[in-house]
Amino acid sequence: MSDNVKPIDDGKGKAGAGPEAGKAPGGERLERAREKFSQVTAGVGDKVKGLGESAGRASQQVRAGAERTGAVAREKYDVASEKVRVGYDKARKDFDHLTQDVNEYVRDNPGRSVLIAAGIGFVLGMLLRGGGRR
Amino acid sequence: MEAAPSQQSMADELVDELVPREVDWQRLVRSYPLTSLALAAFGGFVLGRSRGREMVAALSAFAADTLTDNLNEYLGKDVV
Repeated sequence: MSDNVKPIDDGKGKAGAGPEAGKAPGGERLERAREKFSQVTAGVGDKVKGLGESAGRASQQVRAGAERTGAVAREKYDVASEKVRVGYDKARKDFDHLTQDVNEYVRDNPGRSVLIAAGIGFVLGMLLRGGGRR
Repeated sequence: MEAAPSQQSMADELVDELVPREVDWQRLVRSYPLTSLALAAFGGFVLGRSRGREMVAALSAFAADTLTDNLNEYLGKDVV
């Protein structure tokens, strides 16, 4: 009869280890999950910070490039406008000289000048008439 | 530079015949040269558009008659 009875201590030890053994793995898992989460958030934060810095550098580069391009374009515009102004002044002077020459010739030869102008107008009128009334 | 007197006076005479005597056209042309040229060109343009062909035909006939008369006078008889 005494052989069939088991000592109580064995049962107790077994029974006592069950709940404590279930608690430890859960807590470790939670702790590990927390660590991982903090690592991930730290990594994401670093990446976002890095992206922000590179975006800032890129915008600075774009701004510097745009300023350089604007300066070059402004310089070329100034050069071109100066050339146009010089050409216009020269053409106006040439036209003024031509006008003076024409005035002088007409004052010296009024009859001939009038006949030449009338003849040119006559020829133009005939040419344009021939093109319009066919 | 002066043009030959005969040519200059011929042009002036021609315009004198076309313009009324009361109008001192030479003074006007000398006073307003470019305007006068523009008006003359416009007048010629209008004339060319409206009576261009008739005028050219008339001038051609006049030139042919003059040439014929001169030729006949040169040859001494009515050849043409």
